[in-house]
Amino acid sequence: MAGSPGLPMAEPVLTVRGLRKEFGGVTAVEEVSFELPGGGSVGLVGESGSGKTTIAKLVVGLEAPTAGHIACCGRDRTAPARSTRERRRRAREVQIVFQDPYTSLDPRQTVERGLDEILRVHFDLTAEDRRHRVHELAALVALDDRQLRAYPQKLSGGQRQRVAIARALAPEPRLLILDEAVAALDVSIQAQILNLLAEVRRRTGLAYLLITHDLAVVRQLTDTSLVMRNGAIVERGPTLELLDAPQHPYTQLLLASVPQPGWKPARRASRLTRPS
Amino acid sequence: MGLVEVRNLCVELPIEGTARPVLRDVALTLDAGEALGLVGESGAGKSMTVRALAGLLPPGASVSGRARIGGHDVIGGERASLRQARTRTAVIFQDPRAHINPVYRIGDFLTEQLRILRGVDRRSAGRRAVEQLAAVGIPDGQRRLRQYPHELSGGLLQRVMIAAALLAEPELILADEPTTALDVTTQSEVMAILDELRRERGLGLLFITHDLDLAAAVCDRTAVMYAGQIVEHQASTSLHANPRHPYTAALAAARPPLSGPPAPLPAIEGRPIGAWETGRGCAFAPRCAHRRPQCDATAPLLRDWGSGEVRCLRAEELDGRLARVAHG
Repeated sequence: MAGSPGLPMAEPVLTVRGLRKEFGGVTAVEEVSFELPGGGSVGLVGESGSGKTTIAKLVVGLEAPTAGHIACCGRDRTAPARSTRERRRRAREVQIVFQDPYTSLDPRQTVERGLDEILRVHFDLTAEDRRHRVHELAALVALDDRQLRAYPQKLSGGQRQRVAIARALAPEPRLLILDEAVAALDVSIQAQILNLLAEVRRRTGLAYLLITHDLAVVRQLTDTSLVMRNGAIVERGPTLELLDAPQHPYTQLLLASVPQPGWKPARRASRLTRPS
Repeated sequence: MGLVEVRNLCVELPIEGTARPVLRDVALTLDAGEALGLVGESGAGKSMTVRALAGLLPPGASVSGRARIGGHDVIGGERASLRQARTRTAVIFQDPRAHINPVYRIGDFLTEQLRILRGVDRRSAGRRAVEQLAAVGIPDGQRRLRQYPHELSGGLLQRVMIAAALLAEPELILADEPTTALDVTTQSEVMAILDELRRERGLGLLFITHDLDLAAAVCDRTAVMYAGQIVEHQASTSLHANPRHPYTAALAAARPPLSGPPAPLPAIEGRPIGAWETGRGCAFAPRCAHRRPQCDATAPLLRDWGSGEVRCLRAEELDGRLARVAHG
């Protein structure tokens, strides 16, 4: 591949260098650098205002960085895409699934037609091939024929999130960004979607960038984690090590705040986060 | 006599033009100074239970059964009785921003009921508001009273809501997912404050959450709801160690763990259903790993079991086995 130095096998699917984003005078993301290897899975963990969603928006191209560089599959995407062609090419590299499956689907389009449209935009396939591929995608996320023919409002939250995942998989991206993609789901449905996402990654070799506030979700889906606070990374490491032996006081506080059997709430947050 | 007594509570709501049940035969009691958790997923009926108790059911709702707070009827009673029940009750909702007037200052919001309902003068109402803010961990109360809701973070605003609830000097707090919209560190702090003040003042708490572990942390007893019914109820500590209903065990197991090697989660198939979608038999049967033919034929009753209650035909057979399900 042109312009991609390094070994082909180790080529990262995403490279972020010195990323910085300011909104007005406020710095949302400060000096963030990380790499996501092909087929790997990185978790960005943090609370509201930590800058994790801003990073997702910068990688997808919904925002432009103030400074720093973003490259996907060896191609720079720091500047916004300037043509439809370029935008589509980038869409085939990175797709995103959002938190709220109720507002991220077109209410006037059946699931099947929505998927078909994505395939028409991105690939030169016959109607028959597209139909075949739509059913393949539906099978991958466990949606049945009835659900394929339904409008989103007839589907439950969990089914809609399956649809959102199928749509994101349709352009065959190299990287899937999951921005709090299971946060709004009921516990029993969240478990189904977490299992599905682990299975999809195993079967497709897709890389994940997982944005979440939930440490248990990171543990379930990622190899490496970055803990963010106020726009900066405060700790990073292999996910299991990081969660079993957190080094930074903020990571320790985050872990101590998760309700578990025998857990008691504590007024300790004020030591680190002063009310402002 | 308990602080809260609910018997045979049934609620129907007009959904797409037809009256559909959302609560079916809910019964619960809460003593003064006690905390009861109501846990469940969407459609379980936990918020509707709170709304029925607060007299805040949506228009068109039809209610039957009995609900009393401090001996005063909330359902089917005189208006004076409902008013009596309400003066003893404070409600804290999930989204503080949706329950505070954005054009009023925090001070006006906090002192309004003291001034209007209790006839407290402005000066002493302000003083009490500042004291109450200090109690919920907001030290610079004077400054906060002059601020508007948009100037406060979600965690701070929820603490203001708790302060407002406590200023009314209630006997009962109905808290409907009060920390679900907050960050985990803020949740821990807000729950610690609520728990501490409730114990100090001997208030009853009905705590609604989807999180079994959070309920166990602050409630003496926990009731689990599914499809508009209570399916199990027992002491919070034993609920986790020894769940008696397959749904409770499955719910505990479905939550991803914070330790151990990552493995596929024992997910519950299907989705949580509403009370109006249930058939003849047990509401949970279609998703239950322990289903038998009799489960589809007969709707189980809520029956006494040890110091708690369970709504499962196979509770005796499954005794002990469910603990292993819950803990992997």
